[in-house]
Amino acid sequence: MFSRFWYFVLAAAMGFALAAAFLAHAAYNRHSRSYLADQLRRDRLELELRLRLDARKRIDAIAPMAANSDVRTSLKAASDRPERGLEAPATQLLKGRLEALNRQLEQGQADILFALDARGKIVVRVGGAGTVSKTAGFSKLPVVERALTGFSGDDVWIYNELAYLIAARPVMQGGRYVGALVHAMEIDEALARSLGERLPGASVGFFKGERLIAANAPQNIADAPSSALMETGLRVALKDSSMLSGHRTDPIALGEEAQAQGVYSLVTGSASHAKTGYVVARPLSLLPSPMQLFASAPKEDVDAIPMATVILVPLLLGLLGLGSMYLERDRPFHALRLATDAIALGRSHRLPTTAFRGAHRKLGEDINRALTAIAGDAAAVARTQPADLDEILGSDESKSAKPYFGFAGQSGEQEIPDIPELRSERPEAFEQTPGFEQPPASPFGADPFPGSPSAENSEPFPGSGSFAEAQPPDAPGLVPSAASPFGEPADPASGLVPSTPESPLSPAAPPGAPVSPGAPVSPGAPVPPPPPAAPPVAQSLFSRSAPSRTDDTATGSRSGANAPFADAAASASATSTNGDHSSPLFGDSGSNHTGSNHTGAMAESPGAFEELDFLGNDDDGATMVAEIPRDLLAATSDLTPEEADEVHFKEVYDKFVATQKQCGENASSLTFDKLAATLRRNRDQIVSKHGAKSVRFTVYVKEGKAALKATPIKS
Amino acid sequence: MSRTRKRTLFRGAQLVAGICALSAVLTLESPAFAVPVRGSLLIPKEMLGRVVRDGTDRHYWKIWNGKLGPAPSPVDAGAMVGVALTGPRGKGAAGCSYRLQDGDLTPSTLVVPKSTAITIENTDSFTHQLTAEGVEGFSAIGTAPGNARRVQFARSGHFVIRDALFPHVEGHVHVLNDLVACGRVTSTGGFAFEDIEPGSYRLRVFFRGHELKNQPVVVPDGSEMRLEPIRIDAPSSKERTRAPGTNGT
Repeated sequence: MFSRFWYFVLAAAMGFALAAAFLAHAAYNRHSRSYLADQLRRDRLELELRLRLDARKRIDAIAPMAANSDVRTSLKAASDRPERGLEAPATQLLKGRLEALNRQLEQGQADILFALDARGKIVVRVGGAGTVSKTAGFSKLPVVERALTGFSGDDVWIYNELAYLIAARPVMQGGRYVGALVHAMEIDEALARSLGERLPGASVGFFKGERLIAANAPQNIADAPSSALMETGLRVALKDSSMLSGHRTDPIALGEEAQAQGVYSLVTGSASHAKTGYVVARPLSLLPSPMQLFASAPKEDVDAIPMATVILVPLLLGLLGLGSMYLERDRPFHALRLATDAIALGRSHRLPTTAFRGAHRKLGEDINRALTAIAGDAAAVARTQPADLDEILGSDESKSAKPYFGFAGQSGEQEIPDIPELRSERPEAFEQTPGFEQPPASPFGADPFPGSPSAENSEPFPGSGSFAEAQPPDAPGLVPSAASPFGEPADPASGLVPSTPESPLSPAAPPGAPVSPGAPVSPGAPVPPPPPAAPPVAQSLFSRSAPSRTDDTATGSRSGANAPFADAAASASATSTNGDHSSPLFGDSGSNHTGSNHTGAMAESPGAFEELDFLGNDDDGATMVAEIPRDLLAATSDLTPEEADEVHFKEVYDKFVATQKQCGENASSLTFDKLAATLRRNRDQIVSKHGAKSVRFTVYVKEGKAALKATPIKS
Repeated sequence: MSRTRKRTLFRGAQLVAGICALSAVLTLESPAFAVPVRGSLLIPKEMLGRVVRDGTDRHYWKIWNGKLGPAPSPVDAGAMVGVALTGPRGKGAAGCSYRLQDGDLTPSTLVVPKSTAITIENTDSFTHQLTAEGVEGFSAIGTAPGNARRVQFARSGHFVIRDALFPHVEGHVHVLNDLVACGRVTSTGGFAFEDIEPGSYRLRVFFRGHELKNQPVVVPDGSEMRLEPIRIDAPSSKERTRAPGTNGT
């Protein structure tokens, strides 16, 4: 039981471990996503901050240009002559000066640098492609408009299909604003790389519409999102209302397998209107299966595992399981194997099933039956059955039918003849009890008691022995004659059946005839035909005393019909030591009497004996017609039948336990409730099957163990 | 009848025919002398301030230089107000010009004739992508520097033109069925229609999505017509900044 429970525990532990693994797997992935989302948000803020600082750097970078005197004077001149513009030499001077200043900015130099007059018209352009008309200007562009009014600022333009970071600064000369400088730096790979270096492990890209215009992926990250991967999220990002309103998107899964996530945001500037923005992306490291927890675990985590616990606890649990397996399976199996070995070696003929429990006991019982069946001795099957209560009484209908009412040589399915009635008043009962119908066949023919000991060895069926002695040598069987001797009153002195010539049990039988239990009960023995009608055996049967017969067997005489009731203890003692073939006895005096009656009945009428062989599984104690103990009858005279049965069950229980103890059996496992339930069940079966009014059970010793017999009561 | 008498009658008939022919010529082809119509608008200054749509002016920094105080933004009423004459004989868009200049539509309030192609010239040094919702054929197509965009409005009403690249660009187009001429508006609010034939017209003033004036004008025959200054009541600030939409009404 424990091992089974242990299997369940192990299965539960395995399930728990699997659940924990899956939970850890899910938690790891969820944490990875959450951590990555937070990291991307931080990256986006970092990138936004970098862009902001870069804008300020560019504004500051052009401050020296705006302060340059040549620049200021040239722009002042251009502003003062808006119609004519700046002269060509002055324009060249200004352009040269701006180029020189721009080069000084090194990494921060502008890709395109504009010098504007006070109206915002382009005076000089440094860098860029194409020509610029003299009427072109930027005065309506917000950043330029602010610069012309005295404010430095920044913006992002889409200038001729390219995206530029713009910084503008006013130029002052003579106490007024004479123009502005516009610094334009293209958003390209260099800018993306520069920003990406400030975000270790992150891929940075800039997009314009659905096209990525610049991107940088870290080289030291194998699975860093590429520009193509970042571009895949643009379609989703460009539909994101949050981003279009000037904020950022939530992390967007990139790629078909969502192997990366990216946060998209529009740039801060006019170009945001053209859906120009940037993306920060990082790879998403998810575990494809719980087993990857081990593979992905860092070394420090592995080192932190309490290896002693991890090893010892499963080892201890495993040993515990092995121990339970040994106790519950291996050891009983070993015992069973030893027992079978003993059988194989000839040291034993049957398995000690009482030494086994559970399935092993059932297996032992089956083996015993099989052994018996193989031996071809069906009677041995019953005899070798252990004196187990359930086995005797049967736990179901099929089992209980046989042991109680089986006749020797008669299967349990055969119909049971009428059961003799019992009366509360014993003598009258004996007198009024009708005889039993003759069974269809002699029980001795079918149940010959092959193992019955000799008569000298306190034969369990002394009646049979005596009967054998009493019957004429030529008597073929124990069939009562038509003029049954049981009709004769018992000899009070001897307790024997009156010696009549007709009686097979007549004392006239040659004394000292060979007592051979096997003779009358041998399977091959001739069986006399049953009498045509049941003789009134009960009267004669119960008018005799089995103890007398027993005593007769031992002593050869008995005094009076009531004597058996007086010396019950002695009789019981003698009977209890008879072993397998001891006469079935009740534990009290009544038992003796009953047994006496039984044996007497057997002696007087084999047919009656056959009729009374309730215990088909116990040939030696099968024949009995109960005589209700007087004290029991007295005690139960005022009780209802059910109450009387309960009182009877209690007595049976006490006797059975006492007998078990006497036999050295373990009586601790048997409770009254269990026994009573069994008795009730069998009582009901007997009553329903045989029409008896009630049933009385007796305790006797069989093969050195306590056993029970049932006696139906007709009235 | 004598030959002399006949000759006299013939000469008389010739004289009558000549007089009749002269009279007919003088009557049918008498020239109506087109005259300029001038006037001025009294525009509140608050109307001429820069209108910035929400979310279009995004930037990190706006840093005062610390030396000179901020200069006032230049006011150019001509770039923001549209003045038009309409009449029963309107056939075209005399005096109407539209261009992209200094980074914005000039003027930002456009009055255009219905079902007549107009040209928007890009005089800037960079590309614009003008578009107008609800106007067929006016999707966001780039107009390179020096090029022009031709569009035609098949329905009368008010439309908004935007630039897909520069959010500050916002032009309000008023499509009129009987547009006669567009007035050239100066930065101070003066306007002039050139070569307006005498007759009855209506003078209409538009500011962004609003029509602020609609008054009759009778152009006399003979000399230049000078209108009395027209006072414009500024719409509420909310109306000024509101984009009326492109419902074509």
